[in-house]
Amino acid sequence: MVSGKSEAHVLQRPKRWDTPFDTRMSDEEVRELLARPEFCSIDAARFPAAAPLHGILRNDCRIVVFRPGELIVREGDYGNSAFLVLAGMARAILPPGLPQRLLGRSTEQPPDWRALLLEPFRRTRIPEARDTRLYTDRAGRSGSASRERRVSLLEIADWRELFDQAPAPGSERVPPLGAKHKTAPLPPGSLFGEVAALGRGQRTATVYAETETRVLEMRWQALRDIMNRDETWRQKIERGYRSSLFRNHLMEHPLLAQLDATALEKVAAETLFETYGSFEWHLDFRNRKAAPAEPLVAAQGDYPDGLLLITGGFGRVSIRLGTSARTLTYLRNGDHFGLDELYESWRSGRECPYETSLSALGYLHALRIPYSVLAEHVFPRIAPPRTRLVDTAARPIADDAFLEWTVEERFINGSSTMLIDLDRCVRCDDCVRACADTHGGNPRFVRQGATFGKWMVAHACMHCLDPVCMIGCPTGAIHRSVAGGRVIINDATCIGCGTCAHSCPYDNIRLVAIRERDGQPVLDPVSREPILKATKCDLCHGLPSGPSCERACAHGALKRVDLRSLVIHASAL
Amino acid sequence: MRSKTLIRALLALPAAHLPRPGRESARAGFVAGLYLAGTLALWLPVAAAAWYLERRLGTGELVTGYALLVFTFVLAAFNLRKRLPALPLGSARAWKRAHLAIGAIATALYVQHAGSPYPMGRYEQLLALVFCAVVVSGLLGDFLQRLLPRRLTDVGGEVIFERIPAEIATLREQAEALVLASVREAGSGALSQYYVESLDWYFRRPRFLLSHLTGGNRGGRWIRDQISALRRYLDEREGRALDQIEALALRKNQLDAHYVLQGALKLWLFVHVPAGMLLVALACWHLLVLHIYAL
Repeated sequence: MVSGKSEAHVLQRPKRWDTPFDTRMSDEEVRELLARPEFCSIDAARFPAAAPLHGILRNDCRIVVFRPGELIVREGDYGNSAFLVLAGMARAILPPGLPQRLLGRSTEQPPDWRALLLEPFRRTRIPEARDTRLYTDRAGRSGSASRERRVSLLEIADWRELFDQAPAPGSERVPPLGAKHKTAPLPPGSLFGEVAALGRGQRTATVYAETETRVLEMRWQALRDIMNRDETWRQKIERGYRSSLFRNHLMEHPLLAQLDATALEKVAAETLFETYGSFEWHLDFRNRKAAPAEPLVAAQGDYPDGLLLITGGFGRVSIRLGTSARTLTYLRNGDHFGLDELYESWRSGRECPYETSLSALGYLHALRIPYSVLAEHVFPRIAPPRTRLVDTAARPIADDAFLEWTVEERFINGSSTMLIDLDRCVRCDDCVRACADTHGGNPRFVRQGATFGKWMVAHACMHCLDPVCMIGCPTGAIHRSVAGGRVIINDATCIGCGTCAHSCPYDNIRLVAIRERDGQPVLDPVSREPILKATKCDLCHGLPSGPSCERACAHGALKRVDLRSLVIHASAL
Repeated sequence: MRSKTLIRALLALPAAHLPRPGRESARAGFVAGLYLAGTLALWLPVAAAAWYLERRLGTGELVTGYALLVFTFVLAAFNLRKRLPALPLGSARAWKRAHLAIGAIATALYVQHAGSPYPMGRYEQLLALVFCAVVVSGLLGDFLQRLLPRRLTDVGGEVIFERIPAEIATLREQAEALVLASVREAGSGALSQYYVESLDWYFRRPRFLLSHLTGGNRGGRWIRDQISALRRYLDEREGRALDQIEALALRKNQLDAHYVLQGALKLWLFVHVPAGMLLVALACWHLLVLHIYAL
């Protein structure tokens, strides 16, 4: 690197594998992996020269050894990687899983008080100043931080909570969990964690090492690249995806809570997995030349043949009105559709058509439980639905305007949307200053955005339920924090390719040209173009008191809200 | 009750998952009550102690004086809190409420301390003047903060204050380009003459500020009058250019309103904050002089 007072700094433009997942991964380990049955059948010639198979294993994977009892993944954590068991035995704890207190969950890293106290003295007027030495020091960089201090089931205070017999000290095998905990073995060759990694969501089960277990942890980018080029892996991942959805959604859904194991097995055997729309819906949505396609899942007036349990994506519930459709509500993971009509059919003995329509907003994953199964196993055991979706159409149309707007703009995706009450906002920009002060002088949002009445949704990352910005990231720099699931960018591994910024449907990610601490721009030595980094709101990750923008608003005008409460806000006023 | 049922149905959620608007307003009432009680709990003992000591020992002014100094520091600390957003020092909203409550207590204690709104000594008169400036500007600011945001919402066309001059300049350039293009195409000078004589004045800088500040619409009326007066001289092609200029002028009218209303929301702080700082300095000097010469 060349530097000088009056000259620009140069920095080799970052590339995908500048920061491997684990710098200790050796060529010998890669050779060993390539010889395993899971990888030897893959046709390496199908991989491009820029991202060969051995490169993926070398840079996007790492080998981790877990001691008996140690948790490999925890239910509820957000995952950015999947795991392949190489040796030993792991075990998944099936729903309902373990109590949270036994999972050793820490909400966040403890705050660095020294850094917080010194922060006012470290502020600089130079925009986007970075210490570029960190980018060139491989050891100093870490990949997507997905690991916390390990937690072991053998370390719990009272072994009776988990085991029928006391674990022997120094034992090489964890004794079986008590009868109330159902588990499933994961022998060598098993792949797990791929649903959370590819679906950008939470881990659905806890997995622990029963014996000393050697696993291959694969960044989701590695998983994506391999499944795109190998049919066996694609099928394996899709099978796992579907079985996980079946297992978790059916076992945990409140409607099926009254079912015993046998009935649940029968329901699972008959249930179908359906998917509508495109997983990469944001591409259509960003191109606003035409209204984005909304594949119809169920049409008003048609006869239902099964209950739809929504497992991913969003759906719009609407009724016909004039020449268009009026939105009554939207559905997301955990919601269901068609219960009113199906239950009424079962109760009255006559067929009842859908009273509303359901269409996919972007994509929609659903499980369809056939009517015959519901009539036999579910309806006799549940109370009649208390409210009907169609009843909501009784309210004035004007009351739906806010909902229509949020659905149309897809703000329903946000989990921490920055909502500003313009009737209270005095436009003082204290929120912007607070954001800048906590991010080295650089605000991470713009106090402008779409407005509806007195509400403004500002251009700040909404930490989406479906963070499509993560889809194309080649390095995994943009990822979900393990605890809390915030979408954050690892500045050290971001290569400034702009994929996330171009994918964000809401224009909430900005690419910035970085500077050295002396104020000189940092340039690529060949093209002399500035080195870019993606930046966005990180909800003040690491601050003990939460997002500083919200706390800096003296008028209570700015809130970070989940869309559901946002709709309630509007409906209540 | 009906609205709650609707919301519940709307979201297809069990009742337990929903925050209740009724509860929210009850909570707001509870918080307001808490602040009022806190204000009284803070003020009454100080006022009573000062009154008691004044009657017994004639030293009540010491109690009110020291209390005023402490409160002045606490009030000034609100500005410091804004500069330390990373530290867990409580929300700015809580600070603002406390600021208002303590400001009210300080005003009451000041009256008790000074004994008269206009004290005898020159230095004390200066102190009183600065104190009044702080209180009056604070009250005015609070009033504006309650009044103007709604008016800004009604105006619409949200814009960041610092960008207004640049936006006006852009509008002016667009309007001038339209006029020039129209002259080139139509060959008539009516539009350009009218632009130079009146519309140029309007696009130069923010106009009708007092009207915008007081909630009037003189700007909108002026545009309407000017445009309708001009239209009779133009042919169809020039009329289309005039329509576009009218749209630009209406946007400019929005920007003018934002300029003056957002400006007012910032301007009072240019009195309140420096006066507050001056008050802290004067009060400290007042205490020092008092201890050196009077006690």
